[in-house]
Amino acid sequence: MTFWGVRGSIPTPDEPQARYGGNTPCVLLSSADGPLISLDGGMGFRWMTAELMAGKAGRGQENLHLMLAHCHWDHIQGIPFSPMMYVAGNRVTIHGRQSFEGGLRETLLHQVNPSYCPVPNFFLLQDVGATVEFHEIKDPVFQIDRVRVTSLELPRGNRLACSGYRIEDRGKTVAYLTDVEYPQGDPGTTPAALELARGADLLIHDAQFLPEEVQERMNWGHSTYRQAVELANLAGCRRVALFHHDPGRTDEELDALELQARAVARGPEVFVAREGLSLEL
Amino acid sequence: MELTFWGVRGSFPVARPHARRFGGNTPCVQVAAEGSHLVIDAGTGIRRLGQRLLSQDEARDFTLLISHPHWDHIQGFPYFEPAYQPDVEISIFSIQRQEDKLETLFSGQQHVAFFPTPLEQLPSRIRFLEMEEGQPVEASGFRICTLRLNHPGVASGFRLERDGFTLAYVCDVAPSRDLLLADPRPGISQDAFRRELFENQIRLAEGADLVIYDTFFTPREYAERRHWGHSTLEDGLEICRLAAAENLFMFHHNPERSDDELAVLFEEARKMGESHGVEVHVACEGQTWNLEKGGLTPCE
Ligand SMILES: [Zn+2]
Ligand SMILES: [Zn+2]
Ligand SMILES: [Zn+2]
Repeated sequence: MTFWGVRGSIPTPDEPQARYGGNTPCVLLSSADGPLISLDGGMGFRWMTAELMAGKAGRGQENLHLMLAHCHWDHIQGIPFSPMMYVAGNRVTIHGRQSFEGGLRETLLHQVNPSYCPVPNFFLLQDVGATVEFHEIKDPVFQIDRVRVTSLELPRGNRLACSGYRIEDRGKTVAYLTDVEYPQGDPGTTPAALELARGADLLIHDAQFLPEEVQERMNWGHSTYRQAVELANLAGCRRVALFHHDPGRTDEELDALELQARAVARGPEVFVAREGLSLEL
Repeated sequence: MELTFWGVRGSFPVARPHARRFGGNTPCVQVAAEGSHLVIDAGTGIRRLGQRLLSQDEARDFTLLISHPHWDHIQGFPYFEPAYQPDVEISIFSIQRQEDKLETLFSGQQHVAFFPTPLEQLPSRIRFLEMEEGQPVEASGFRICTLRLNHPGVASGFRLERDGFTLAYVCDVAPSRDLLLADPRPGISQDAFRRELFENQIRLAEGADLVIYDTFFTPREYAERRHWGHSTLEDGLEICRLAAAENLFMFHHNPERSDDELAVLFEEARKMGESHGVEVHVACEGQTWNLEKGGLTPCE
């Protein structure tokens, strides 16, 4: 597992955020003989796939699964700038749920509307770039080769729901829950969150806000480090990565946040997700 | 009058170590003068500008010029905090468009599928004003003129005049020597239109004290990506020479360009500039320049 983008909302190429990183969400899951899975297609996706170009993606032989939490800009903005999308022969399957009239495909097509983004349209044109397939998630459990994926909808206050993922491969489990806002701020009220996170080796969780910010940011669709750790406590996760950092949060503030979050953990190991960090599971 | 670069990178924001010195935010340039706040383009750089404006003083009236609606020139707007203040007024100017009006495109950017708060629900008063090509308007104490440029879709550059100082913003733009990339204009041949778009660069820069120019490519890169809609330093120098403009800012840096590479290109550019009678500078995020009739000096 490698973090390629950990920042929420908008990329922050700014000095105060340089150490933890300013690219928007992208987490790569890979193994020697298993499928290649990218959690979200934020700006980190651009740089992650640029690195893949040195290997099979550069020869048009890569097969990538991209799982979208939702279609907010910070989760899709890396896709049109990803070099592997322009290499014929590559296959990219995009998993997610409809958020625009007409479905997932229509939503992503809007992003490459020529008025906004005059790139060769690999979504529309058969003969341009990678073969892109869309998997509109209906059945919450599906299989990618030997990997079992569970995807459930998560609440975001009064906003559109978002997709959370649980990915199981050879007895190891990663749970990815970002852009989630729990009713009454209590993850215990949300069975879907508990189910996705249950016993996970690694829980990657939204921690955009501080507990003291939550009152005035109601219905913005995000969590605090406290709620992230609380879910890990309840679901018996081994480790929890605090993720989707607020664009204004500085490196020093994230250092402090990590210590505060550790103080409320009852069992799980807690750390702040940092761009470039890799973990062997 | 002061000029500050808040975003200098082209195409998409680059939050990577190779772009730390010159900056990775997408285009946003502030021109501040006595009592007025004018901003060109709303790339990601506008986020920090908005925070600065709110913390600094009682600024409540902003003029925003948008060159064209490609993501890198509008993607920061939903994060421009003054737009969330009820007593703020934002006037957004752009060249007239027949279809895909700027307001519709800004609204599309904040559709609920993509962003939590719709444009229509922002508490500030936001006005979209279309400029007629070549017809100067007065805003924030500036005389502003816009002309179309050779770039995919409908894109335009700006010429700003105030207190005897002239600044030209010529970005995004392709060289216009042989390839028409802009949406054609009915009633004029493609060739004639392309030549007109070339001339427009000179009209915008005519006698300007400074020109902010799209120097995305090196000549070698341009040869491979001619249809992308960007120029080289060499093109910029040629325009400045033809327009008798004094200073050129390299701008809209290639996202792949590292700080070290850019520093080397800049050194070469300065020497090339000398032979064209143009002083070359490089746009660097966070840098402020003092603009006065007859020259510019960096602020500390
Ligand atoms: Zn997000
Ligand atoms: Zn641009
Ligand atoms: Zn453009």
